[in-house]
Amino acid sequence: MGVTAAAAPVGAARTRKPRRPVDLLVLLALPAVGYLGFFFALPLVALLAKSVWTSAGPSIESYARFFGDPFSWQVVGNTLKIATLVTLVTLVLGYPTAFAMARARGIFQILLLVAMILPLSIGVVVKAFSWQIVLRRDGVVNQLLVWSGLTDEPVRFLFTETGLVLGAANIFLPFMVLPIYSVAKMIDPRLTEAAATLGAGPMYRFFRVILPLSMPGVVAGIAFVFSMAISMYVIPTLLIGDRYQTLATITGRSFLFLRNEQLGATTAVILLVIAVAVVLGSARLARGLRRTA
Amino acid sequence: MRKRDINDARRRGLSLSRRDALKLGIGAAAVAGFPAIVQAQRVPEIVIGGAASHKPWMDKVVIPMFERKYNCKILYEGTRSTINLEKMRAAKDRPVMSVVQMDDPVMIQAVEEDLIEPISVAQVPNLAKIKPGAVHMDGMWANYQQPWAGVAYNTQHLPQGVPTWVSMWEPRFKGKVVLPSLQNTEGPWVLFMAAHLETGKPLKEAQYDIEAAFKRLRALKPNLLTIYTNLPQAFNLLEQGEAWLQVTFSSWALLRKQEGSPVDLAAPKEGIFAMPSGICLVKGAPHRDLALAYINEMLGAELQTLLTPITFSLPTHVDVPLSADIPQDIEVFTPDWAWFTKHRAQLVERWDREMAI
Amino acid sequence: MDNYLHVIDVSKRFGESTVLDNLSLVVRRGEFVSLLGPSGCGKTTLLRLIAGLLPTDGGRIVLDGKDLTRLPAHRRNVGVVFQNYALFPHLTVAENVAFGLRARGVAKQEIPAIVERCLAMVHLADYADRSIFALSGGQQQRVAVARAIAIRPDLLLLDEPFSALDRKLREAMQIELRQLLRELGITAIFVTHDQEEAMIMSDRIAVMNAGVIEQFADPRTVYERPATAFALEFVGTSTRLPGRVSDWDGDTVLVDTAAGPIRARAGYVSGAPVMIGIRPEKIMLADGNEHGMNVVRLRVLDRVYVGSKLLLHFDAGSGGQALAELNPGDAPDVAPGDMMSIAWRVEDTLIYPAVGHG
Repeated sequence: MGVTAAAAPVGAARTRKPRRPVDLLVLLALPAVGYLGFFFALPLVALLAKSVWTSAGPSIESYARFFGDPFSWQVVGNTLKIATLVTLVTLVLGYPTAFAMARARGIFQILLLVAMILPLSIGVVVKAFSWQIVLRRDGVVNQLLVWSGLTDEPVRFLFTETGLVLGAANIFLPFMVLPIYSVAKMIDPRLTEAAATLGAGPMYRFFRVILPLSMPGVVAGIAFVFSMAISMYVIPTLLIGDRYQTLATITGRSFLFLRNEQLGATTAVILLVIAVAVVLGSARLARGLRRTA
Repeated sequence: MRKRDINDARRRGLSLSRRDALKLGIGAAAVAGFPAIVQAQRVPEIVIGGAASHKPWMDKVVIPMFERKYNCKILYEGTRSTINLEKMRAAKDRPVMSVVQMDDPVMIQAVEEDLIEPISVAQVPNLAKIKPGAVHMDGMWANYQQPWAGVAYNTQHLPQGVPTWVSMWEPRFKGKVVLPSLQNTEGPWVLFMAAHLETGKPLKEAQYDIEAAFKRLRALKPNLLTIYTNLPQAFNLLEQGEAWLQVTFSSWALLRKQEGSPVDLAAPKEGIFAMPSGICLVKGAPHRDLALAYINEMLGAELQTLLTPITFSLPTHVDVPLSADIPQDIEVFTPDWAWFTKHRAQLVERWDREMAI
Repeated sequence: MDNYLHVIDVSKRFGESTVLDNLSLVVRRGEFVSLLGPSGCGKTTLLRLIAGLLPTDGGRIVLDGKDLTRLPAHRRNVGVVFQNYALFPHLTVAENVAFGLRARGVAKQEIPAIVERCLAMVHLADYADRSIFALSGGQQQRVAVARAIAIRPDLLLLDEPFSALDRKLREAMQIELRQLLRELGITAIFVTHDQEEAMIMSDRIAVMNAGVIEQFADPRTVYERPATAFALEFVGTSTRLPGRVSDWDGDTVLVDTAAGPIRARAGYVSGAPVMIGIRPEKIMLADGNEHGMNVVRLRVLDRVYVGSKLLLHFDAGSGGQALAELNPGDAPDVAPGDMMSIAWRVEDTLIYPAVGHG
């Protein structure tokens, strides 16, 4: 028959598991926690301290100065806009891909996985070069646009926001696809069948079953891509250049070039706060969606 | 293992520096069965810091010549100027590098942080033969060569190049001009030239007129394809014909031309710029005598005669002739780096705003 | 009862292998039909074809005069209770039951009452707001039933719904479900590989083997008069003895077996290889008055006492065994090794053409 694998619903197994004492298992996380604490949390505290420390003691002067400058708002705007667009593009492209991968079988699934993971081994600089070739005035994209009659003459993509979003979305796509894929793989295909037999059409099944169940993967993907897109440094440097400043490029330049560590620390902290807020916010939003679904 | 190192270590209370440890390690490996390396370890070794892109000609010309002449070993650590500065800062109490080759603006920072010490004609005789303007801050550092900056162009689209800097503003170059970031050493040239074009004053005076410079630069914005910090990537645009004009310098552009790329470097009539390739003595340098000898050679006629043709640079030793492919009779301008370095942060901030997309 | 569901010449292939080949089945209105067979016989495939979860490769499926063959699952109004229940993990018990009603656009204010009624039917009224993770396996199964009947399906399909439950719970649920469906008058098709379950639940049983329905009849007929050797073997226990027809007389044949000559009511030519079958409860101890009966004398191999009955295993020769089910009082002193004469009526002797080496 081939279709009668006896599997209990996901949650049934979960509830039946006896509650284990957790104290010993926590020890397993100690090395990673120690590592992160020493090499991540401590420097983070140092960063925060640096941003508020002046010769006259602690002060938020540096923040006041940053937010008092309209150009800073433009930089924050650029940063949020690009990160949001990149996240949206990867979500729209990645979501169906993840499900195709989850439902594919045998060699096709392996091929799709390899196609998704292999590009991660190619450096960002190489990818940026490749995008430069693809997006050129005589590149493939423009040839296609002109050939199809969508535009009369080549469109400028290189060193535009569009080019940056396209390139960054390509680079971050696996980080959207893989978490959604891992969740999609866990969704019992029989749930959509059950929904169908209950009279739910394809759209209803998607919005009421698939989407809410895949939300944890979507949130993880959004968190990954957004936090990477908001803090990307090399990619905008290569794909849009010096004329488009983001919080990350401003931070990098403050430390590496201007040697203004307080400004760098300030923009880094602002970047971190925005990233954490958006990631936590989207997780909360997703929980809300799940509940009302 | 060498006795002196161990004695040194004792004197320092047995606190081995990383370099000592490395040496001990190499020594141990050598004893274990690499007689050739043992031989090499017997001669003194000095560490030179410099740019990664200089490694080919360092390996080919400078290092063999110097090692043979002075029976020593050179370890060349090629990286970025800012990284070199960071390394000097980190090893301030016990320097590892003896000599550092980097661009003038970074030199000024090194002076401000007290990381380098001045050299004199008594220590470095060739200093007396260096042309005016190439010895800085009373001998804190000197320029051993000067790559020149002009307007690079794609020879397929512009076989004749451009005769003047004004050409960059022509409407036919809409979206085809690439500029270096103000963060790069080659970045300020266009700023100075814009000021010169706007005010009509000589570069020497115009370089301080920032308002005029940005006024002229704003007019260039429609023509800009991008402003780069990563030179190889940006130069690729010119080589592929996506960009037609790019402000850059000889040791990169002419090297690419020699390697077969369809590019060339124009020396427009208003003048070209001398890139500041400096060399300095690290404060408290190990092997001080060898370090001074090395600097002397880099400033000397023998090495510069060999070097400038392959780095497409201007020599700084007065007796070395310009090589054939270097534009003759064009004014070579050296800016007021001290003033620029002082105002750099402000200028960069202004640049961000004015040049933003 | 009129004919309600017509499965007409339906075929299904997966790649090279044909799972169902021109299968037909007619189910009456209000009937409870089991598809009984070993795994791989095509019973679940048939269920999925009827539900619209798989496309057919030929044939038609007509329900109450309406051709379903080309309709997608969500337009068929055929409810399914899945083997693993397939409850929506992100919804509460009540939301699971309400899912189909909402999907069909049932007026919002009507939904809570229907949900409540359906949950009450499966005795889960107090569990409405629970997460399905907080339910036992049996409770989850009831939610799945409530969810399926909430949409008032024209036909309810159940795919081994009890297989994940333990034996006691399973038996209670079987009776309960049968009563519930009877009361609601729902026509149901039930897939199982458990012949006992099929017997308990069904009005009729379709015994399936290798994509073919071997017999479709009421449980008693299936048990007492299996249409094929497979049905005999798959349903209940039996003694099966291979043999060869040695004589033929009107409506009776004489078959030579390792246990001795056995008569059966059938028409086979002499020399035909056949299979003799006897249900264990048809066998009694021979008492000398065996007119119209088959009698054989066999050695007792084993004696199993199970309370309500006594099972005797006999050596039937050539490695075969015979099984008799007696009242415990009928053979008090029998011990393994004893020779005994057993008898059964010629009418109760089942006979099938031999298949292969069976």
